[in-house]
Amino acid sequence: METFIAIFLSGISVGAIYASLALALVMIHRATELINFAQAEMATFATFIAYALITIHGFPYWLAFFVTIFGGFALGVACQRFIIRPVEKSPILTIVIVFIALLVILNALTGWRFTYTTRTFPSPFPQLSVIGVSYHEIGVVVVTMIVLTIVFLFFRFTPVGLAMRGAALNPDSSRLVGIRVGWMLALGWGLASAIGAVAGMMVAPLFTLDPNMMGGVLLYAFAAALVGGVNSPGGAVVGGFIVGITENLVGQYIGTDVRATVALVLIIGVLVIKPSGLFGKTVVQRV
Amino acid sequence: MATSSNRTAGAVDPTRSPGRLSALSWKPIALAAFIAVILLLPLIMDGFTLFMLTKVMVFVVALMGLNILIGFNGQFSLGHGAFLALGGYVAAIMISRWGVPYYLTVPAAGFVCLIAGFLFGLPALRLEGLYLALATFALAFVTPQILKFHMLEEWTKGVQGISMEYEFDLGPPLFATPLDPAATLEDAEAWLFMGMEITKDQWLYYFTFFVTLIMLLIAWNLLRGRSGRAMVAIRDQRIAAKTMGINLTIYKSWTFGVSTFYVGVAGALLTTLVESVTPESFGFIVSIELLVAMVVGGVASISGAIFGGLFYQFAQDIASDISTNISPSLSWGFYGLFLLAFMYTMPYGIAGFIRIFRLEFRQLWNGTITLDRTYGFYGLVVTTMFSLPLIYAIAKADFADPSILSVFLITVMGAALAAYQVFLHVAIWRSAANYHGRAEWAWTARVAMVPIMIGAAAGIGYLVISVGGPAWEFYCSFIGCVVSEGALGSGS
Repeated sequence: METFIAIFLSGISVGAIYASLALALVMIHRATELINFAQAEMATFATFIAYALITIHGFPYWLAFFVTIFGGFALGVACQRFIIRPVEKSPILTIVIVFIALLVILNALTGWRFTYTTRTFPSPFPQLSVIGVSYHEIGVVVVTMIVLTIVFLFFRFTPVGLAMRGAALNPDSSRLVGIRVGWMLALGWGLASAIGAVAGMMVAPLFTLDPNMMGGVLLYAFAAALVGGVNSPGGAVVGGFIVGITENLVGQYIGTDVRATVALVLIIGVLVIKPSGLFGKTVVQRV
Repeated sequence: MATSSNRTAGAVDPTRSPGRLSALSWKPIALAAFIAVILLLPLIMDGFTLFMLTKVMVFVVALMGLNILIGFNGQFSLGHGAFLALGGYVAAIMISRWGVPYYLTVPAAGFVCLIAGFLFGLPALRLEGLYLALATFALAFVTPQILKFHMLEEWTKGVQGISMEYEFDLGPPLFATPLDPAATLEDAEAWLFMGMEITKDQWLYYFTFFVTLIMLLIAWNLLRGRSGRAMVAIRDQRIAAKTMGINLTIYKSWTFGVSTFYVGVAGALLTTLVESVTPESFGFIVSIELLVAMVVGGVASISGAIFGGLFYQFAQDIASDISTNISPSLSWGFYGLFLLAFMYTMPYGIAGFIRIFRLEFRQLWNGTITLDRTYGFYGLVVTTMFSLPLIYAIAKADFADPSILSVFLITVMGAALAAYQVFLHVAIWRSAANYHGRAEWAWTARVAMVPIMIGAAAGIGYLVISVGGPAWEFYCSFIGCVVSEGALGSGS
């Protein structure tokens, strides 16, 4: 029973990371109907910035943490303005390929600058554990919860948040009331990238840091977003926890080598029964 | 007035143009020439180049399958690498366990994948768009894991995969006898095929070409008929298609099955060519690369699959080639830059670009495109883009010991560039005549052609001097080869 609780709790902690990345995916999806395949690579890139700041330039952890969040934000805005914007009006598949291009370019840049050797990333939390759950895993959940609350408050109670929601839901009308839709989109990208940066810095001490660290995480975040319903930010968060817990329980009780397979089969099974996700609205198509 | 409105109508209505082009019926001639070139290539290419071109054809088949699903039916699959693996493993198991001849494994692998794809399609096609993308992406992601799974190890040979070199060679070509009577069927390196000497590489090239041609013909037939129209209708207007009496579930699963049939055939061909399969060679990156190559080639078009196959095979090589001078780890970065360059300049893929370009070409030749566009875009930008691969090929070529492919490529690209320059100068001259602005500009454009022409002539002259000798020697030796083939064949 104690193992079960420990596994369950570390599932929650991994789930928190999936939840943040899933939220980042959903934010961009709501505004553009697209899944940003480069999301995880952008997060890895930001994590390497943090790594360089801490180990090479000797920044204290939390200063590096906030500098990296800002750096991630700037990276997201720059990607949207300079790389995605020129193909905004192109067919969907073309934009998907641009996402993939962004993914491989960022990955290659990280690998070129920092090499593909694995590194350990420091954790700001003490190296202790209670009932088989480390302080870091608890810290991950706390940090994620703070981030999610800030994002919620931002969208719910600030004028900019309102403008961003308006721009995502109805770009034409928003433009008529004076919202700069293009910049709102860039801001959304920046926010998503900043959330991803937090997720990257939280996940790196759990695994080892290397340029391909987030590849698997993206797949689970993608699954989390879809399980929750790709239009629902709250659903994405719940989906993240569901996916994290499922994955960890499967790894413990069925077998580590098939953990990804079984977890994904379960997720897709759920989707076949409920195709629009647990909290997603069924999209009504106009003929 | 009447003529000008007619001209505009012809120009803005692209649907009229294909009809007019097919009335000219130059298409079959071009196609025949293209096939003839492909059939003659093995006579002048070395083994490694042939191997690469054979691989291109294998991926043309795979991309055609993916194109049927994504391009014509609008279903987003990120997981066709899994079916490539299935086809490859089916062929490998049949060859190594049961000693089935390689040519029989091709249809067998295709049909296994057809059934697997149909069965995967039935439940998965309840999912649409992103959800289907996730399901297929997950399939691609777990493929290496499944192949390494310990309960399947007896069949898949686990981590190291199946290698056919030591267990069973591919066996002789059809209807051919070994050149050296002492060699066993498996050991012989060259065979006599209908009185001609043929190597293993050449045989595999022709075999793959034959299969590719059949598959493309099937696709062409399928897509222009009733099924093809139904697929496109489902893509464009799902609900309307349903109202017209198209059974969505059956059609979508069937399309999925057909597309995996293609990919399975490609997998079997790949196994025959590479003679081994490993779990790591079918990671999810293969599925991503297939998707990328399909979009770069051109969505919803058969020629797009051909361009895509070329891109699939050569983009990686060129990228790693460029990056070796800087840092090998940047290879993927250059690949990404290629993608950006292609998507920014040709958002509809290479096939789409050519389609648009052909319409413009007619106008360009008639001089009805404005002078600044003719000069600036077609003159400067397109000429530069045209020259870049040529410059790259020249920089890569080793003139002391020129390889056959580089000489061939440089000759073809140089000739194409020269032809384009002639074409361009006619276009600029005519466009200058139609120019309605200040007359000085028209004359400036005409005069400015002269330095370009001199530059182009100098470039081509330089090319003839530097590569001309080896090229001439090489083409001579090739002609000599063909003439005295019989004598050479019996001598060796």
